[in-house]
Amino acid sequence: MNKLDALKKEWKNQKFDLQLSKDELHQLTQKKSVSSIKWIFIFSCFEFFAYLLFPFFIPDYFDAFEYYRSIHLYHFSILVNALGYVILSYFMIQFYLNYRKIKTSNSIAFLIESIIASRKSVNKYVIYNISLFLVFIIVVLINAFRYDENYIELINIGNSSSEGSIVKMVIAIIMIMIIILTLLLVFYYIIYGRYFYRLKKLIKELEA
Amino acid sequence: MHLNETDFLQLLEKHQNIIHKICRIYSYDYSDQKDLFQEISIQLWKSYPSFKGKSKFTTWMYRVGLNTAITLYRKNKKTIRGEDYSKISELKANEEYDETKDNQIKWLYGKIDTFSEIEKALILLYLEDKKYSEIAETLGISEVNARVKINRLKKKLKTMLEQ
Repeated sequence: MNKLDALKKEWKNQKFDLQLSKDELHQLTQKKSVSSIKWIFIFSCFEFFAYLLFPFFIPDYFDAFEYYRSIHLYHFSILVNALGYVILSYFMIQFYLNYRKIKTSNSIAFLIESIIASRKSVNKYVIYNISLFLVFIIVVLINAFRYDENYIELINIGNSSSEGSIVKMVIAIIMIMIIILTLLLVFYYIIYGRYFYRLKKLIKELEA
Repeated sequence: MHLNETDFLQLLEKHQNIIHKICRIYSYDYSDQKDLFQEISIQLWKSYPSFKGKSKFTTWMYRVGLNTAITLYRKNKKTIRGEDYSKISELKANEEYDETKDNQIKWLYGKIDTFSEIEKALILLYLEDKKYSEIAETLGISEVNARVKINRLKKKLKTMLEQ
């Protein structure tokens, strides 16, 4: 018998001092799970609902529609909002369907892939939502400069003085957007970054 | 307790050493072992309704147990009570091979500790004498891939034994 076979034999004969009874095992199965999947599910639901409830926390959100009407964007704003809810419903369903596929009795590779797929639908949702928001802001700003007298006045001031207040304002808006996007990215990296990097590494190793 | 639950607990009690082995391989200290044991037990019970007896109970146990240890159970392994975990595992791995039974097993766990998460699953299934088809199915890879990976690990272990 070679050393490896001997080792294998010892492995099979190993005893564990701690042997739990049926009652003790029953108590264990009733405890609360600390599984990361549970947390991913909770966080994902929170994300969906945060975006869903977002408008209700912005003061004057509903009055803003009157303003959009004044700059000829009433129908556009309604359309964008409706589109937002269509996107939300689509990705929520996709997330739920993918989430249901996550079963610990699947193979290791399949389980990891279904966790990644389920999370991807939330990520796509966030990206689509942010893109839609950015397009909306840009269109509103363009029309504001065309129809809102306050903005038109700004252009006139900009033309008469060399300070270029419009340029300053545009830079300020871009900076704010960059800061918000960076904060979001940092937030996502802290919550999911390391875990998903690990999952992807595991899949690579399995396929190698 | 339902009849179903009684059956489950009976089987769990009988085969609990599978969980003990997984926990010892994937944990860094005793308290972590206990926590992982609990999480695997919870996941087994949660997943039991979907166990339809297509595979053996033990095959299903390896799957749920390994999945829980590798993907569902997350703990920061970098620091344990202020000590650097990688240093501890390095110390455990540098122990010399000793022919006495207890030390052999201790030595083996020390070596396994230096393996990657996937290698740990492969070595466990190899030591448990599982067929290549079962190993492939548990990991979700092809049988050829499983064979290649196991042979690579066997070589690695043999070299360690000869050192």
